[in-house]
Amino acid sequence: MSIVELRGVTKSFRKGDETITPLDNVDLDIQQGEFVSLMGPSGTGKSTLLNIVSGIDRIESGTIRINGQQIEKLSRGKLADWRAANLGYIFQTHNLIPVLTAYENVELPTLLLKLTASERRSRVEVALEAVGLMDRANHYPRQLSGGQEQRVGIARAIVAHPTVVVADEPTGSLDAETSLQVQSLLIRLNQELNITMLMVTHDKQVASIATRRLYLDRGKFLEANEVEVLRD
Amino acid sequence: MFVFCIVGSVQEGLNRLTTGADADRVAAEIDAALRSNSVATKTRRKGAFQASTLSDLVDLIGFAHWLGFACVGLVLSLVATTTIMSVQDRMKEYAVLQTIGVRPLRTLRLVLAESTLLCFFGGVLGSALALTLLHFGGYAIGAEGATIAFRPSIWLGAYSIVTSLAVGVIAGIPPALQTATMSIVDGLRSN
Repeated sequence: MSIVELRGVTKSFRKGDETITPLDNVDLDIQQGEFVSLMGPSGTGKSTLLNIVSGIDRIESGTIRINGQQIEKLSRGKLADWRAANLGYIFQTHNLIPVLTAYENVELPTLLLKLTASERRSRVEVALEAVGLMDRANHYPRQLSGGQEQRVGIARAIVAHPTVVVADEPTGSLDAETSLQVQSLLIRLNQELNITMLMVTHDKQVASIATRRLYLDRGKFLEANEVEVLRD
Repeated sequence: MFVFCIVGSVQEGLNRLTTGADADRVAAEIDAALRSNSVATKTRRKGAFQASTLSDLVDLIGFAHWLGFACVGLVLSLVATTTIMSVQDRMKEYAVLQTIGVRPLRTLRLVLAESTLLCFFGGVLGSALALTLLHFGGYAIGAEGATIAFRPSIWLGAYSIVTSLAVGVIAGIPPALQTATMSIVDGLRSN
């Protein structure tokens, strides 16, 4: 059974007189432990797809099953509970809470779960250790470099042991060297912790770290040969 | 006997009558004699004058009451504007919180709590300062033997703090509703 299963997903919205359909009857399956990258030109629905899998955007038709649970009809409150337990979200611009330390930022998702204080502490320490930032635990975001902030964001995304981690251009705001560090961290998390990942990127090199690469164009996934034609 | 006390441009004359004199007739004669003066007089019995002065004082206090309500309204709008701007600035933060699984109702409570606590602590500080000034300033208004002193009391303090709390809750409702009902995707896109 697929961890992420999208069937006939359609999403459209109106922009002035025009109806834009970023996703048109899309099917997608992602297996446990897969690392999927999603590429495509701007405005073709990559982020929309990511937001739909994350349960922060609604669809017009189709079904979304994550780990067997159908989520498209859940209420806002129930979706929030579902996200707390099942989803890790890595933002392009880390989006840490500036008044909280790195430790507290990572701890945030665990406060929404039924965990004891010692379980929370243990999970936060493991997550910070995994991204190599245990020594920066008491630093505020303004005291961290861009790469360190992004790693804290990654620790926050994995601390609740989510079913799936989605990443929206996780290296988009980083320099080349820091981008490589974050890429190797994502590979390590996928391989060592068997975390299922869906990553949106514009960068072919970043996309190449994934175990499966998808290309989205005008609301549809393209086959590998069609992508080659586009590349040529 | 006339005694003129000049207070700014107000002149007050006191006429002491002999026993058996007709007060109303004397008053009319005084007004008639001074009609051609630069400012016409209005002479009344002392009791009527005091009653009129007290009535003016009551009106003044009533006006001050409305002025107080207007100040509370002004503070309410200021707090509401400040809270709305503060929430607008942090819309992305609330969107991030909801993305990681914070329920919309909890973000509503967060914003309401922030607004209420800000007003509460501001109210406590402001009330303490005002009560201290009242206590040591010995402020009072009075006229014709009637004096109204502004004295601090526990009730006044409690009333001020309860009003501050109410202002905090009312001012926090619109931004709290905004965060709870916003689209997370739009919130994440906001700067």
